[in-house]
Amino acid sequence: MRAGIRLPVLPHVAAAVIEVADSPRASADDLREAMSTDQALVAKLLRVVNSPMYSPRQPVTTVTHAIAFLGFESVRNLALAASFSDVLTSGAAGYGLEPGQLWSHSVAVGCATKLLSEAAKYPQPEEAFLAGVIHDVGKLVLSVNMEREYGGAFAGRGSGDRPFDEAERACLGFCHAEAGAAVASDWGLPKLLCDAIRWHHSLDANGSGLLTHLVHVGDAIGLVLGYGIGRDGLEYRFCRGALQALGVGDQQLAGLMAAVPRAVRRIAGSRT
Amino acid sequence: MDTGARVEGKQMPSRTRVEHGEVAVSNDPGDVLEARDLAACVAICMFDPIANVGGLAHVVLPSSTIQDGPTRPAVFADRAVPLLIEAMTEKGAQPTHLKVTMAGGAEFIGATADDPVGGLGRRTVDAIDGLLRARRIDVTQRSVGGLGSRCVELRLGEGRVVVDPE
Repeated sequence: MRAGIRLPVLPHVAAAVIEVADSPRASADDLREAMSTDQALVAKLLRVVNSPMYSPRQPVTTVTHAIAFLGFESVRNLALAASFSDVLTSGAAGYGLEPGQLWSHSVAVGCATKLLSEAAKYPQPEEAFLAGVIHDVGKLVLSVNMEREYGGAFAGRGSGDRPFDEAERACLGFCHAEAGAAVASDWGLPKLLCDAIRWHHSLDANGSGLLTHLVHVGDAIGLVLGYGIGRDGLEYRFCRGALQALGVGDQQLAGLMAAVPRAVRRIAGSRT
Repeated sequence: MDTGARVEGKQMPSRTRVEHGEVAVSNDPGDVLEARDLAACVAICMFDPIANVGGLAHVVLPSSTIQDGPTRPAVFADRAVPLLIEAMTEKGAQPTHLKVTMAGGAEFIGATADDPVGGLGRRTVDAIDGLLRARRIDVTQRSVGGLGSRCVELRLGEGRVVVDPE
């Protein structure tokens, strides 16, 4: 990757949650302790748990309650996803995304990927949510470069028949998916997540795992619904084979596309 | 059930953002109804220049073939079109006077209409066209398809619709 690119700093609390995740003997108390320094994060986590994605019978008001409701591993993944909100809320001007828009897209893709994962009977829906939330973190890394290049070498190269990620690669030497995977790896996230980020626009390029297929379709849903649409618009290819790989039918797909806006409203608030 | 429809008059704020599956109607010339970042979604704007009534629906999917759930009915074209016309007529508009604008319906590169995700926009546009044709209502302005997202606003005071980018 081209030298001189600065990777975003991993949020402190996210580092603590990853440490808990990496420890085989970690307990619910460790996770609660890791989050205890950031009550805003706890509030974000609880907003997700109380959203229409889960619809608990009684409001979930504490981390302990959330763990009892969803289980340790699920809450850990949701906490990790929530811990990236500040990083992803900043703008990515190079992609034409104002502050808040990338987070809006991230939440929409997280919700869509999670709902898809349930339809596809993927064993860890919250892992799918996390992967959806952080799939475009590479746009933060490349934003400055894109801003510099858009009026110059990149001008006009991202339209027409060529997908935007290919145009990025032609202009910068790599695309936001590759940059995102490098960031995720640097942050110590599991290889499965790094791979899903790396290949979410190019399913044919590897023996893509189920999580990558989920993120590919979840990203497409976030885009067609208009969440966090930047200057790349819909300049991507959608791989229909991903739906076959997931075993998700048209009716299921339509149902969850109709459900995503409500979940996003509850988690991210009004659209930005 | 939350119909998502808001039929309001003078109390409405001057700028109303119409989200997925919502319908908004007004007869206040100070009002602007807008839908942003449409992508594959389609905005239907209707304006009756005689009654000075305008309305906007933000449509997501072509038809309500999926089971009823806690979803705003105007998510679906086949529910949004009658809902919008009904809300307009309640405010005094006449279907024969309507000026209709359609905007949005973007699609992925190389998508075909039968592509469940990539061709969604085109299918929604086709569905709305069919529903309006069946009611003998012409679309007077359209900006649909392509790879880019659009924003649309209906300025009631001017009686015109601005689509960005056109």
